[in-house]
Amino acid sequence: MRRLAALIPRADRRALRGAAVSMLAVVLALAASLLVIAWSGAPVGDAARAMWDGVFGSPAQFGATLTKFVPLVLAAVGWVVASRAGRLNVGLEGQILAGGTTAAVVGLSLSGLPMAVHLPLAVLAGAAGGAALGGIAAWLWARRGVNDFIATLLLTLIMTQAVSWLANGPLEEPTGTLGQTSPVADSARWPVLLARTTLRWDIVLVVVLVLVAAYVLRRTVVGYRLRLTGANPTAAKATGTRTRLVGVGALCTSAAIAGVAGSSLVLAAPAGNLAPGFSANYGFDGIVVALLARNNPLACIPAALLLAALRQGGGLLEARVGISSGLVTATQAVVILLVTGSAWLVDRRRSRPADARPAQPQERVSEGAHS
Amino acid sequence: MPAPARTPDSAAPPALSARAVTKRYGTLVANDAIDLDVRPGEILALLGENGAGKSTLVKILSGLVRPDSGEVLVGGRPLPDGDPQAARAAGIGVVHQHFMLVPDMTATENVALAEGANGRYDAASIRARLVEIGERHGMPVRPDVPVETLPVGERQRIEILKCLLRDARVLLFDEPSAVLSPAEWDRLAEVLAALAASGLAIVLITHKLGEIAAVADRCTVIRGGRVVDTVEVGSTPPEELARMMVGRDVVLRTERPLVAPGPVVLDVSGLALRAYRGDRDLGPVDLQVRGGEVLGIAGVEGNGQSELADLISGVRSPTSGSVTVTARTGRGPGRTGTIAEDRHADGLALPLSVTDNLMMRAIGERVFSRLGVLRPARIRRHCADLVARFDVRTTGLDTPVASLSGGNQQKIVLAREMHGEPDLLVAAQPTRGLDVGAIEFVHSQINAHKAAGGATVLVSAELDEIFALSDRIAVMSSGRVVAVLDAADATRDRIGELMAAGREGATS
Amino acid sequence: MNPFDVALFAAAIRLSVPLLLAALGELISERAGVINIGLEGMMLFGAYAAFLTAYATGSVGLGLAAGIGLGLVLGAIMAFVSVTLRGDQIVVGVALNLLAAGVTLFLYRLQFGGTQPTTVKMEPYAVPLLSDIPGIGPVLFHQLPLVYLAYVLGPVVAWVLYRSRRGLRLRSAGEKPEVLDSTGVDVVRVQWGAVLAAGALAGLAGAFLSVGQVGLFAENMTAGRGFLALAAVVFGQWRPYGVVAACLVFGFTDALQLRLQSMGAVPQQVWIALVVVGVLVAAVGVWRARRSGSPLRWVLLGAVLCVAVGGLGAALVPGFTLPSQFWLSLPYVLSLVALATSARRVRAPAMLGRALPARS
Repeated sequence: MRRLAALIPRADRRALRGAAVSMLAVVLALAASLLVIAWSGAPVGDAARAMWDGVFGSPAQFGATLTKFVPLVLAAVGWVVASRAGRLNVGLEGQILAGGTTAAVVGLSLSGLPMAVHLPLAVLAGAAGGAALGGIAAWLWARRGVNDFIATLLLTLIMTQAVSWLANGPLEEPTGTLGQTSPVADSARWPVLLARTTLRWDIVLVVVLVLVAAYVLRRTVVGYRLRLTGANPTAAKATGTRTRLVGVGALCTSAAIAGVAGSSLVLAAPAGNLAPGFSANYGFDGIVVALLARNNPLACIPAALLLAALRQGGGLLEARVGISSGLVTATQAVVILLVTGSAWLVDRRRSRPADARPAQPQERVSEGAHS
Repeated sequence: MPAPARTPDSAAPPALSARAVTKRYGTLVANDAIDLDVRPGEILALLGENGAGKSTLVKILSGLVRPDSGEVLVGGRPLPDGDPQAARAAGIGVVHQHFMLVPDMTATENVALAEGANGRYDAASIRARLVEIGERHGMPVRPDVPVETLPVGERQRIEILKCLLRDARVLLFDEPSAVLSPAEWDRLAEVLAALAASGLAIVLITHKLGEIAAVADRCTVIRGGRVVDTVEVGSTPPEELARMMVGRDVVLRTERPLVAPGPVVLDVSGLALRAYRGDRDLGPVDLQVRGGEVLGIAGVEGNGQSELADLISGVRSPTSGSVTVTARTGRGPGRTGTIAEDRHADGLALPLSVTDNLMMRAIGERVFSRLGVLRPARIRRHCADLVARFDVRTTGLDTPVASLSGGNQQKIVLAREMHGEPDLLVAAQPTRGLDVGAIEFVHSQINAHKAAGGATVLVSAELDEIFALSDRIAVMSSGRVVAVLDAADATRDRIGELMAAGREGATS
Repeated sequence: MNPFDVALFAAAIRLSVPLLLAALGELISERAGVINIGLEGMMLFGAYAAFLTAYATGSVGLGLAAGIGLGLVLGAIMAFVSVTLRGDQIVVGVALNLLAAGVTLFLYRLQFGGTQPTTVKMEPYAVPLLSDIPGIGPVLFHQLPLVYLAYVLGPVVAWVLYRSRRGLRLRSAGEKPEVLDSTGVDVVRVQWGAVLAAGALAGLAGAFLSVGQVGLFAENMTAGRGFLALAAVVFGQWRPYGVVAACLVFGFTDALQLRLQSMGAVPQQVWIALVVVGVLVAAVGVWRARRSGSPLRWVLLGAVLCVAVGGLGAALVPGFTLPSQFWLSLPYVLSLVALATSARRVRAPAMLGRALPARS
C-alpha cells in the first residue's frame, strides 16, 4: 500500500489548481445542462433522479457504468502516454477499431484452446493491432515528416471503413444478423465479474494496466525519458536521449493501449462480436478524460468514472424523461471547452523576460521531418 | 576597403535620436538612459557584446517595445511609444538579423505584405519598383521566386529593398553580417556606403570591429545597457573600441590555480564544418588540451567559437576531422560535460523539476535504477547532495526549473554536467546573464575541475573571463584559430589585435 | 451498361459541393495556422440551424443565412479558445464535434420527437444558354445555385490568398507570424478572421446538406463529410485549386460508389478506368521519384501496379465487386499517400496546430 501511495504525485499548488479548475468546469457544465433541461420543460428533479438511478440505481446500472469506464480510461491513458512525449495521438478511435478487429479475428479463428491461453492471446492481439495502426502513423511521422495528428486522424477514418467492410464482408456471420461477425469463441471472452450485469473481469486488468502505466511514467527510466522529450526535445537529445525513438515508442505504446480498449469492447461485450461502429466514440472521449485529468494517469480513473457515469446516466435520462442523450455529449463538450480555455489559469507562471531573449519557438510539430 | 567620400552634414538635425531611453525587464536594466544621434548621410555603428542591450534598443527605435522612460525623435519630432506603424510611417526601416520574410512567398509578395493597407496589391508595379530601385542601388533581386529558395545575401537585399520601397529615411541594420559570407559582406558594405551617400541615415548594429572600421563614420559603444562613449571611427583604433566594448566591470576575485599539466585529454584534429552559418566554413581546427589545463577560446562572436564548442561536445557532427577525448589518467575514453550556450533552448527542460533536470545525463547510470525502475531515494539523495554542493537556491527538489533565477538555473546545468567528474568540460558562455555572485561560483567550479586534473575548453565573449581562467588562449576569427597564446604572453591589446585583424586577413 | 454517363459527373459535382465549401474555409483557416478538426461539428450545426430556420420561416434564404450565422458563432468559440486563450486547437476541435453531435441530437429529438419533417429546399437554377448545350448542358448547368457559388468560390479564395494583401497577411500568420508582428499587424486578429471565415463556410456547407439538397434534417447527417473536407485540404496540398481538384476527386469516388451500389455487378468500364488511372498515377510516381530519388518510389510503383493488374484481372472475372468501403476510404488513403510521398516538399503551414508564442 505504501508503494501505491507513493505513486500519487506530490500535490503541489499547480496540480491542486488544475484539479480545482477541472472540477469547476464539470460543475458549471452540469449546472448549464440542468438549466437546459429546465428550459426544455422537463421536470428537473425527475431528470436528476433519472441520472442518479442510471448510474447507481441498481447493480446492473452500476455495472454498466463500470463497463463504459473500461475503454474510456484506457483511451485516456493512451493519450497521456503519447502526449507525455509531446505527440498528439488523435487517432485513438481508429486504434480501438484496429485492436478490436485483431482481437476478434483471434477470438473467432482459434478454437479448442483453454481460456487461460486463448483470452490473453486475443487481448495481446488487440494490443498488437492497435500498435500496428499507431506504428504506421509513427513511421509516417518519424521518417516522412507527416504531422502525427493528421496521420492518426486519417488512419482512423480509413479504419472505420475497414471495420465496416470486414463486418459486412469476410468476417460476416454466415447466418443470422447481417453486418456483424459471429460471437468469438467462449474461451476468448472475459468471464462475468458481477452476475446480472455487463461487468466482466477485464476491469481488473484495466485497473492494473492504468496503475502500471502510472508507475512506468512516474517511476521508470523510460517514463523519465518520455517526460524529458516532451518537455524539451533539444535538451533531451543533447544529454543522450534518443528522442525520435522515444516519440515512435510513445505513439506505438499509446496505440497499443487503445488496442487493448478495443479488445475489451469485443471480448467483454454482451454480444462478444465485431460490429461496425463498436468503438462508439470512446477514442475521442478518452481525450476528454485525459484533458480533465490534466494528463495524470491516475487522475484518469476518477475522470473516466465521471464520464462513464454521464454516458450511462444519459441513457436512462433518455428512456425515462425523454431527454436525448445528446445533452450528455454536449455537456462533455462544454467541459472540454472550459478546461481548454482555462489552461492559462493553471499554467501561468511568473513571466521571465529577464533574460531579454526572444521567446524560443516551440518544438515544430513536424520536427520528425528532419532525418 | 575605404568608405567612399561622404559629407554628413553635421549641422543638419539628426534623422533619428534617442533621448534617455530606459527599459527594464524585471530587475534587469536592458537600456539605461541611452542617448544616440544619427544624421542624414551618416553611418553610425552601435557596438556592444551580446546582452549589452542592442536588441532592446533596436526594438524601441522601431516601435516594437515601449520604453519605460525617455523618447525617440525622428527628424526632431517625438515618436509615439510602442507603435511600430507610426515608426514605419515616420520613415524608420529595420533590416532584421533574422529576416522578416515569409519563406514561401516571393519578394514581390513580401514587399506587398510589408506595405500594410487592404485590398488588392498591384504586383506588376511592385515588381517594377523592386527591380528598378534594386538596380539603382546595386541590389539586383529576383522578384518572383519564393524567398526560401534564394541565397542569404539576396534575401537580405530584399529585406533592405522592403524598407527603401516604403521611402525609409533611417535604416537600422541588426547584425547584418551575422549570416553573410565575407564576399557578401563586402557587397553589403558598398551598398551601405552608397545608401548613406544618397542621404539616408544608417545605424549599423554589430559587435564586429572590422565592419565598423570599413564603413562607419561614428561609433556608439554600449555595455551593460549604458552608453560608454560615442567616438569618431577614423580617429579611434579598433583595439580601443574592443576595450570599450568588453569593459572590465566584472570584479574577479578567483585565483587561478596552477596545475602541472597531465596527459592530453582532448585531441582535436582537422576538425571542419562546412557552411556553419550562411556559407561560412569552420576550420580545419587542430587543438590539444591536457588534464589540469583550461584553454580559453576568444574571438568576436560569430566567428565559429560556438560551433567549435558544439563540435567538441558532440552536439553537432563535423563535416570532417575528429575529436578524441581520453580519460585524465591517459588511458581509455574520457567523458565530456557540456555547459550549453543557450541554457533555455539546449540545456534545461524548464517545466520539469530540479530533480528531473539534474538527472538528464546520469539517469542511465546503474545506481539510479534497477531493471529500468528508478530508485527515488537514491535519486533524491544524489540531487539533494548536488543542490547543497552547488548551492542551488530553490524552494525544493520538485520546484520547476522555470521558476528559478538564471544563476540557479546555470548552477543546475553545472551540477549535472560536473557530476561524475567529466574528464573534459566544454563551457560555452558559462556566465552569460548571471550576477557577480553566480559568476564567481561558476569560475570557482571550473578552477576546481581543473585542480582535480580535468581539461576545460572555455568559450567566452568576456575577455576578462578568458584571462581569469585560461592557461592558454586560442583566438578565433572567420572560423579559424588564428593564434594560440600562453596566458603569460597574452595581453588584452594583443588579443584585441588578433580578433580585429583576423577579419581583414580573411576578407582581403 | 456504361456507368460513366453525364449524370455521374453531375452527381460528382453536386456531392463535391459541401466538401468544397467546407474545405475552402478550412484551407483559409489552416493557411492562417489554425487547424479545425471541428469542421464536422460546424457543418452539422450549420445543417441544423438552416433546417430549423427554413422550417420556421419557410424561407431557403433565411435558412442558409442561419447556417452561416451559427457557423460564425462556432468560429468565434474556436477562435476565442484556441487563438485568444491559446488552448490546444486539436482539443477544441474535438470539443466542437462533440458539442454539435450532442446539441443537434438533443434539440432535434426535443423539438420533433422522432418525426422527420421536411421543409422547403433550394430549387435548381438553369444557367441561360449554357444549359441548352445538348447532352451536358441540362445536367451540368441545371444545378442548385450553391453549386455555382461553390465553384466560383475556388478562384475567389485563390485570388484572396495570393492577390490580396489580406491573403498575404493570412499566409504570413500561418508561416511566420513574427513578420506580421514586425509590421505592427495583430496576428490574433488575422487568425480570428480566418477562423470566422472557415466557420461561416462550414455552416453554409452544412446548410447545403439540409436545406440545399433535401429539405430535411437527419441525425449525424454530415456523416464524416467534415473529415473528408479536412482530408481534401491535405490532398490538395494547401492550395486552392488543389483543394478544388481534391473535392472533385472525392465527390467523384462518392458518386461512383453510390452508382455501383445501385448497379450490383461492376461493369467492365470501371475496371478499364481503374487501370488507366493506375497507369497515370504510376507515371506521375516514377516522374516524381526520378526527381527526388526517394526509395518510396518502388513501394508506390508496386502498389499502383497491383491496382492496375488487379483491375485487369478482375475485369476478366465477371461479377467481381469492390466493396463500397473501398471507395469510401479511398480519399483518406490518397491523402495519406500524398502526404507521405511529398511531405518534404509540400508541407503544412509551419504554424499549423501551434499556439502563437506569447508576446513580450
